[in-house]
Parts: sequence; C-alpha cells; structure tokens
Amino acid sequence: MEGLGKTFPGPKGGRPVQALREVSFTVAAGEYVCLLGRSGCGKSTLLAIVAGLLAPDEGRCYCGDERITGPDRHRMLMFQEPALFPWLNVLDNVLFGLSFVDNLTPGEKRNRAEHFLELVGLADCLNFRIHELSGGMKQRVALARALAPDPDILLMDEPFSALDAMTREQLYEDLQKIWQQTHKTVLMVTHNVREAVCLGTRVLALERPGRIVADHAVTLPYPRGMNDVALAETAAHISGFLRQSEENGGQA
Amino acid sequence: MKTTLGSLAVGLIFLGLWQAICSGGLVSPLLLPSPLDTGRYLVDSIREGLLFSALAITLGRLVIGYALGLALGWLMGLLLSVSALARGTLGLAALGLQTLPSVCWAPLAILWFGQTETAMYFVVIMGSTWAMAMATENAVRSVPPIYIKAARVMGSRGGHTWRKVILPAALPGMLAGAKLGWAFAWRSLMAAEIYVTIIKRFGLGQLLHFGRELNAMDQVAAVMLVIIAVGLAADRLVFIPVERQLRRTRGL
Repeated sequence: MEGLGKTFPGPKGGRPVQALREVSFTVAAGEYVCLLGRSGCGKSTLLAIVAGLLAPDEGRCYCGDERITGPDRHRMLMFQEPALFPWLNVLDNVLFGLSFVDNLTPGEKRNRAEHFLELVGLADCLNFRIHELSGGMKQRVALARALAPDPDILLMDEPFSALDAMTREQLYEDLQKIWQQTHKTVLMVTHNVREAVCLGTRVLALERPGRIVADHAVTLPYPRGMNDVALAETAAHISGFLRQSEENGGQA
Repeated sequence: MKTTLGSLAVGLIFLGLWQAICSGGLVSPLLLPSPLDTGRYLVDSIREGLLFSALAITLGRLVIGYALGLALGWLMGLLLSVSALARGTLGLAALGLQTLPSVCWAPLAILWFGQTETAMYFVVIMGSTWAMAMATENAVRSVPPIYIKAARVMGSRGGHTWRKVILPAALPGMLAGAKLGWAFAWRSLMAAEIYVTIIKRFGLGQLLHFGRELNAMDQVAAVMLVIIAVGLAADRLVFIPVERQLRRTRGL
C-alpha cells in the first residue's frame, strides 16, 4: 500500500446539531488509529464521512490523493452491528465483499474468502447460516468480509460494543494478531479508553462538537493484554486528561 | 399418532351424525344432502371425468390470473417503494381498491369483456394484485438500511444492490403478499366462475352455479368440499413448505 494521507477539515454542520466542527487530522499508512469519545461527540459521523456514506457540509476529506466523494470498496466500513446478510451463508457473505474485486477467478475468490475466514478462526463454519452464529462469531465474519477485498483502510464503528466482555477480550487478542499479519491501516471508533489503548498505535480523543482534544501515540509492544499494568496506566492517563478537558470545556 | 386417531374419530362421529339427520328425514334432502349422496356424486363425477376436467379448467384459470396479478402487483409495489408521487396517487388507489370485495368487479368485467375467459382473468387479477402491490412496497421499504449501507461500502450499486440485497431482504414480506394474493385470487375466481356463465369449459364455480339451478344439493355440497380441498392443498403443499424453508435458512 502506498503512503496514505488523510487531511480532514471535515465539519458536518446540521442546522440544530453541529456534529463536527473543523476537524483535521491525518492517518498514515499502517497506523491503527482509535477515535475516542463519548456518545454524540460526532465520531460515528466522522467515520461515515470517511466511508463516503455521508458528505461533509464543509471541508474536504482525502484518501491518498483522491478526494472522497462516495463509498468505495477500498475504504471498508465495519458497523456496530455485523450487518451480515441472513439469506447467504458465512462463505457467501464473505464472497459478497469480493464481488467487485477485479482480476480474480471465482476459484481465487473462494480461496481468498476461505483464507480470511480461517484468519478470523471460522474455518469450520463456512456453510453455517448467519442465525446459527453467536454475536462474536458474526463480528468475526464481518471482519473477514471487510478484510477479504484488501481495502486500503479499514474503518470500524464500535465493532465490539454489542458483545459481552469475555468475547470482546478474545477478539482484542485475535484482532491484534490479524493486524500484525496484515498491517492494514485502521481507523476505529470507540468509547472505551482501554479498548483504544489496547488496539491502537495512536489514540485521538474527540469532544463535542467533534473537536480533537488529544492525540496520543501508544508505543506499548504488541500483543497487549487488557490487564497489563502499562496499558492500564496509559488508559488512566488518557481518561484523566479527558476528564480534565471536559471540566475546562464546561467552564469556558 | 394419537391426535390423528382422535381427529379421525371426531370426523367419523360428525359424518355419522350428519348421515343420521338425513336418514332420519329430519331435513329435506333438497336442503341438506346426506354424506353418502355427496360421496356418490363425487365418485360418479370423477368416473365421468367431469370433476377433474372442471378442476383442471379452474386451476388453469387460477394459475394464469394469479400469475398475472402477482407480476402486476409486484411491479406496482416496486414502483410504489421508489416513488413518493406513486405512493400519493397509485398507493391511495391501491389502498381503496384492496378494500373492494373482488366480486364487485364481476358486473364490470362482464360488461367490458362479456361472458369470456378474459372477464374471469380480469376479476382474479383485480382481486389479487393490490394485496401483492402493497405487501411488496412495504417489504422493500422496510429492508434494514444497514444492509444497503453495507452493500454500498463493499462497492455494490444500483441494479446489483437491488438484485443481491434489497430483493432477497424483502423476500419474506413479498411472500406474505403472494400468500394473501393467493387467498384473494381463489375467492375472486370462484366469484367470477359463478357470475360468468360460460357454456363451454365448466370450472368448479360453474358446477356450483348449475348445481343450484338444478337444485342438485349433492353437487353443490360436493363442489364446495372440492373448493375447500384445493385451498387447503395450496396452503399445505405450496406455501407452508416455502415458508418453512425460508424460516430455516434465515432463522426467522
């Protein structure tokens, strides 16, 4: 993948609610950036703009040198819900993501789909129906479906928020492994500080209305465990910083 | 097994009572034919080939009229789902016409098309198409937007999204419309066959009609039983298996 820069002065000002105001940042290729913020701070809006599902009212958003004007399979978005298609089985769901990848024979597409399902640990579930999977397995399929077309950037919108804590921790572990293997550029939205610190190489903290108040590089070595002392300290530091800036913001 | 035997026993008791009432001379055979007479008519008309030819003619009309009604309703439903203008005009008309009992189309059909096959098709189409149109509109409009977003992110557009996402997602709702349309089509056709007294090509409705003209109560009762049997068979042999298959694959 070529150097991927993203300048983002992308405000989205709805009349009554201003979700984002003059946000600018760049994500470099190979970075795992976590956008952190409480609900309603505009982080999902921001992700939808990068995905091309929403158009910003002001500002511009670039992927590489190309201006983002609409959705594109090079910018894959994973939703809070798995958004898998219940009329297809697991394998066909992943193959759907490959429909628009050119230069692949049907056999190659199948191999690739199987490879990514194996990567997320579902090699035995190719022919399962979606309703036969647990919540965690569904998000794994969604992850395989998003990774299989080899996007330039993977966008994740709180992909773990609907899962229970144990499933989530297992997924953190696996996701770190997968990320180390693929070195995808990731932009993930979350409201969980520890999750952000556990997964990201960089944590951006967002405040209402979509203002970046902190930009932390996380240099802890992978794999990181949720209960590592160093991780907890970093998370506590960022949380403290956020609380402080919240109070300051309240006074201003 | 136990329930089957129980049902059988209750059925036999019912038939016995019915036969007893008739044999005891409590009711005139002109008003209530005995089960034996009705059975005899059934056997005789099957032996003469009359019943099966009437059944075949009726089912032929039903298949053609119903298929046309479904196709037309489906197309109208798609139009309604994409166009607000269509919903404000055609949609209101569909809502009104759906409440019109289909037998009310019979006089108009006879004036327009005479005592012809076309008149019967017309009544069946008018009877079944509105339910299908409204169910299709509803099914398409209630496809979860997240499916469409997910498909767009993966590169799906326009016709591909319709074929691979919207229509499969709307299938259960459209099937419900088809089932409702079938019920209306069957009622409409019986009304049409009773009204349209075609001289050649007797269907079940015409048998019923002439049974009344000839005061042949055994014929009337027997044909009614056949009409009930056709309705049950369609439900058991067509709709229930299809619905079960759909439930199994999608976990509904």
